[in-house]
Amino acid sequence: MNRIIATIAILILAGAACPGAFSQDRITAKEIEINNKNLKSDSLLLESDADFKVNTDSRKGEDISAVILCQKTTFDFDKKGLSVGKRIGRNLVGLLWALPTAGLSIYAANDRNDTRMLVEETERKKILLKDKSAIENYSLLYFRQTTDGDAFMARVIKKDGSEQSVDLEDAVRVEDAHTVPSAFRSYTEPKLSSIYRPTYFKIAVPDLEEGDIIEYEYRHFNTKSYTNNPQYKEFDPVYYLCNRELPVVRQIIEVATEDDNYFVTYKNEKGAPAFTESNASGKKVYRWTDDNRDKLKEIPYVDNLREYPSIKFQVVYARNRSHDLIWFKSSGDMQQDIAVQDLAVKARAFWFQSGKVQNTGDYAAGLSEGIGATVDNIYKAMKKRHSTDEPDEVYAQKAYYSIRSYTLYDNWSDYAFAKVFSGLLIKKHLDHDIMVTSYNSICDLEKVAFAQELSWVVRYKGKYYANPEEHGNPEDLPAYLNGNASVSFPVRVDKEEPKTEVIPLSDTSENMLYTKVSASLDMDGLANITVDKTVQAKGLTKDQVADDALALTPFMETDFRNYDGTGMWEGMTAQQSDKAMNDFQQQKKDWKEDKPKMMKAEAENEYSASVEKYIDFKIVDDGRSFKKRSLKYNESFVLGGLTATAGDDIILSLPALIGRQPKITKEQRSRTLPADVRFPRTILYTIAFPVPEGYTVKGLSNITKRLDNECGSFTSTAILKDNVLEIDVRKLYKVKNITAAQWPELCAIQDAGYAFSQAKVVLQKNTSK
Amino acid sequence: MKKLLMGMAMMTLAQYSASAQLQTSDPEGIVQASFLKKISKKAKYGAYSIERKIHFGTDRGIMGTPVVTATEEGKVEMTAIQNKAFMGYLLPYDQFVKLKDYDFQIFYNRAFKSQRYKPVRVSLTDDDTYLDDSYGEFYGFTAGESGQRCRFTYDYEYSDAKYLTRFFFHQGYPVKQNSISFTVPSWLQLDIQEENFDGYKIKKDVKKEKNQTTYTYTAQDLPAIKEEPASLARPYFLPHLVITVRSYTVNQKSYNGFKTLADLYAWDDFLYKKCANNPKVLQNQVNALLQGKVTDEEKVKAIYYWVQDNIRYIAFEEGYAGFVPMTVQDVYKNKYGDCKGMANLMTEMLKLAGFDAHFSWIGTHDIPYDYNKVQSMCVANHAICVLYLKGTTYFLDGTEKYAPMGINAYRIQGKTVLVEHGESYKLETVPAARMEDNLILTKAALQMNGDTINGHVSLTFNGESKNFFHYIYHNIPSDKKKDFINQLVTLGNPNAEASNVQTSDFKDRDIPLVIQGDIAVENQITLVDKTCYTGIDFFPGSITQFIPGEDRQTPIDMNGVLLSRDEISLQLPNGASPRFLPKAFEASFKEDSMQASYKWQGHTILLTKSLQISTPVINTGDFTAWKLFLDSIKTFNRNNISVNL
Repeated sequence: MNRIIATIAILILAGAACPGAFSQDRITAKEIEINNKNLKSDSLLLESDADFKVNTDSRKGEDISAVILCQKTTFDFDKKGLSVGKRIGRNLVGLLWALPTAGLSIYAANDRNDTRMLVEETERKKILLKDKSAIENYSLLYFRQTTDGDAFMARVIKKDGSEQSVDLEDAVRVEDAHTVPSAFRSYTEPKLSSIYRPTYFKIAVPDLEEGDIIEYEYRHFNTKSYTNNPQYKEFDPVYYLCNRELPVVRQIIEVATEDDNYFVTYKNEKGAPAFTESNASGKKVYRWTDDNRDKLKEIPYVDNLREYPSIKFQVVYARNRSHDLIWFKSSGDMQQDIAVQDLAVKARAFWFQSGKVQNTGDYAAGLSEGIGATVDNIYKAMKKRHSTDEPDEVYAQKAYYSIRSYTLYDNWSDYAFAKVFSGLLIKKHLDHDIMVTSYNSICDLEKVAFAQELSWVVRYKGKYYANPEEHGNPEDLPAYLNGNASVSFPVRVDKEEPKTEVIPLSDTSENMLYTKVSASLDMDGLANITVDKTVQAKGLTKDQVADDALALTPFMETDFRNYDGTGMWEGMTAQQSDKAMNDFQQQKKDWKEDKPKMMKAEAENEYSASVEKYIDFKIVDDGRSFKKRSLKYNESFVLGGLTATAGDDIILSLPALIGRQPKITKEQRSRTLPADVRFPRTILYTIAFPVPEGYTVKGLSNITKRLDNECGSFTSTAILKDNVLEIDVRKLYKVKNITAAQWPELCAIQDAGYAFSQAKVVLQKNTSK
Repeated sequence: MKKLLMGMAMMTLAQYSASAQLQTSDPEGIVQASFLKKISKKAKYGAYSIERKIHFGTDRGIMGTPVVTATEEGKVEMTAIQNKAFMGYLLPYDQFVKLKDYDFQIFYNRAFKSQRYKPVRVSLTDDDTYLDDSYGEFYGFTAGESGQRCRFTYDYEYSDAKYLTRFFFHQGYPVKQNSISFTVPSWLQLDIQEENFDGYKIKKDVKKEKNQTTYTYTAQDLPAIKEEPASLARPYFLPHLVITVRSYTVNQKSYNGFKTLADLYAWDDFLYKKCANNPKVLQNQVNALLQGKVTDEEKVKAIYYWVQDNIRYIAFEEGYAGFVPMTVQDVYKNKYGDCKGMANLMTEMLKLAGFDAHFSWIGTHDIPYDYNKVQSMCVANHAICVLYLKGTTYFLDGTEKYAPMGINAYRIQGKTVLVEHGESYKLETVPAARMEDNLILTKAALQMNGDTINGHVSLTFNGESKNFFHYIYHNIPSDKKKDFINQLVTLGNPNAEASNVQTSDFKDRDIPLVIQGDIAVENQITLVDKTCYTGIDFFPGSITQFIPGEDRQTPIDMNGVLLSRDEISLQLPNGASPRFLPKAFEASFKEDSMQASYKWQGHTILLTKSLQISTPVINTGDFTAWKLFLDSIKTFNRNNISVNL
């Protein structure tokens, strides 16, 4: 029973718990002194901040764990270099690396000083803790002391209104910064890496009880580096949902700058408030305030950023005060949807000014060299392999796969891919179009606000080439582009106007998942079913299964065949490739052991049953080549827990072999938001089960269903053929987007699927006459 | 996926970008690898030889008197069994066990060569501890080929031999030979207790010399000990030595180490007294808690439950903080502490209220030793408060949130408790676990209505299962509690919906916990012609999770005793009658047993089931019988009933 309680609790709590952190040394007196010094020069938790006067929440009801009474995040942008102290420190780092980098690191370290933008980010939170779970979550606070100026302060406001400061004397250094909860990491903080290894501390909050308020504030100084002194620079957009993980009384974002060359562009959606602009103490301040939000609900098939009130904003630095925004003339313009034709013109301008804009944002993310150099290098390699002599379409495919050999290991932005692929086509003077669209899980094209929200695709001879990432093929269009409105223009620089068009929405015949199961009952105990399963996935369904199917398999071993490469170790010396090969052999050995364990766990999750024995797993086709685009794999295992007996009769949960089906709960049935099922698709199952001798299979009418509506269909048939029970199931998601009015129809399809998966057939023992 | 590929790419790069350690395999290494492979076929590396030599000395101790110190010289020779085996060794240390020196050598060109790079310092603090001083130095390298060897040598210094408590022979990798020797000078009376030696090839040599005796224990052919789920704590079954300094003579003066339990108590008490309590700060709180309380039990409960509810577990265990309780004024001010802090606070609060309460030390279930038999620092890992009230001894554990007064957590049941009594001590024993004290009662009155089963379910928890429920429930955010309760009412069945759910007062720890509600279950009935098949054994028992895998090495510990009773009734429609009801069932394994029966009474099928777990530990030698027991339960669990309509 304890296991059931614990399992249910784990399911409830999934994602909610904070991981534990290793403790390390206590904070030193000097570190406390630094914090105090930084607080003295610029205090935190100021009483004068009127936003934080609220101490209560009017919400009634006992089902609230905690309430954010007020949360304020401020960004202060100031393009200044570092202090002298920090410069020395950086030179030490440069010295450490000087030897392997032949002294360049020192130069780079100093050179970077003139191309760093300093951001001061503060976050202040005041949270009412209403239950034990909240107490536990805020029992430990974390703070950083990594850059000059970092500071932290916290206090507890008791139920009677008295305040107690949190003394940092007992703070302990956190050994692994990855364990620091995201609530204590700033938006502008660099990603953890071997270069960026911040020092964090944790502190146990004393005297915390239900009904208390915990209030804390941190200040972080983060820098963003550029390779040269920019005229124009964009910071990464920030997407902020108004509804949070806790109910909110008030939340504020402020962006401030002394430098007139900074400004904020933003777009507010679904009724979220807008930024207001003001001047205060010599600074330009953009302020966003939002009040009274309920906790974000977990609703299936919802794109949160599309459906819920949100604000997205971006900080931009532009030396030229004409605010020549890429997409909009002014911030005011941004509040309106952009006319698609206008966007088309700007997108084309953006494409052709790539040299100018490349350094303004991370558009070429993933490339280790510039776009031009990358194109040249790949082309050179292709030439060496004689791929450049191939017919044009074959050349295009090999260019695509050559790029994929990079994106297999590195994340390239869509823009980087499109630029490089286009460059390779240009090398052979092959005309093609550039298509620009949005990520449909974020917004529609007319609601695009930032260049980073655009996805770039190349169309050549009517075929689409999108960012391959790890497993893509030419003509594959990922789900986030499926059916999108787009604009296109030919890559030839001429007067032809860009066009607006719709990227094709793949249909149920193109996206198909077919699972063929042969199942047999172990007659020795009647407890287990041996399953031999073959899965074939094509189209977008392949993307759903590829990661798990191909994990821990050596699929990359044959990747080179797609672009006429000579082998996995192309480019290495003989000695290097020998070592790499040995390592890889060992890796494959480890994978061979680990893969069955992984697939066993997946099968147990999929069928909610125990896998008594996992027999085999084999990739038949990895779906990563142009001619064999479907993924196909086979696995076999013995499942327990799907049989029951009633005397001589056997009750079999054969329908469960279609795997876990979505279950719509009572609360989820009434809905006001549209649903996005990602893409239309067909899911097919065939289950073949030889009826054991001496038995008759009954109850087939229970598993014969047919339901068809606008949103989808569910059909199941069961026939007996040569004493083999053949069950066929066909489930269709006919459309991608479902309105709230249509929601009951989708529920009916899901209900049918779920009910089928729970049904059983009976083997009745033949009585001798 | 991309991270895996990156890791692979990095691994590939790492091989030729950075300077790898120079290494060569040799015939000796290849032979060693073959021996180790025979011990554990799948191991990637092993230790061909581990040698630890313990010597003793004296120094001035914290009390100002001489204490026995110890040094440990260690040498570990490891061999790669497979190619590309990453071999490493971790040297743990803390304030009392210091790592004075260490060296790491790799075999290259006919000799072991010291490596110049530093080990990696890692924190060994577990997740439950906020701060301690446990660290480790880790050395490792990737052996390119099978047969490649490396060697670790180290010197430890134990500032006080009180902290030299236990030595195990097994490791997480196979070991060909592990020897531990104690060179005991004549001025020292050292007790070496051999635990769990039966069934293992461990040779003991005693070499007497003029002023010392050397005891050497050598174990051979030790397989790797894996981490396995629900594993019995290792001191219960792995061979090891418990070391106790009984007495010693320095400058012709004799001193007791832990000669008797009284000496161990004296040391514990010395550390306990280092905590400078100021109980006066607690008086107002105690007064407030006692307001309106009439009986002694009410008063004790008020204080006990207040400590449970208001003091969070945050453990500072660095150095002596691991042994000296946090003061009551600090625990009270911070509203956090560890077990020692909570026991300290509770004791002082109860004393202020006029009760006979005492700080006490105890080992939890993970520790097999009894104070009567072993007098060492390794006997206790926990602290509680012992209360004497009207002839009854109560064991009050502040870390067991929601445990009612008089009900003890399983993890301390049956354990001996060392109770502070000023200059002397008392030894008490927590009553042994009884399955009746941990009761789960499930009652369901169901009706078959067409293809749906409706009814009312009632769950009663008492004992450890009640405590566990509370622990989980109160750590769930409030907005998810209802879902949790509903899922319990539906017995975790995804096809059931709960309504009209009611519960007992969760704030009242002293009463059994009851959760009840109405349920409607769909997809539970299979109709074939005029026959229905259904299962009403909704609660088939999670005991079957404890089936040992074929290659399981370690004993299983279910970590609790349990009495579970189910009474499920299913009322059939008019005219319906059972076509098949499973036969009565009974199976047992030692003191574990299960009985179940289906009966037809009037219009109702009644299932009664009783599961008793009184033998929670399953030794490896009993796995066959245990599996038979579980298989028979699984077979019974697969029973459905069939009904003629």
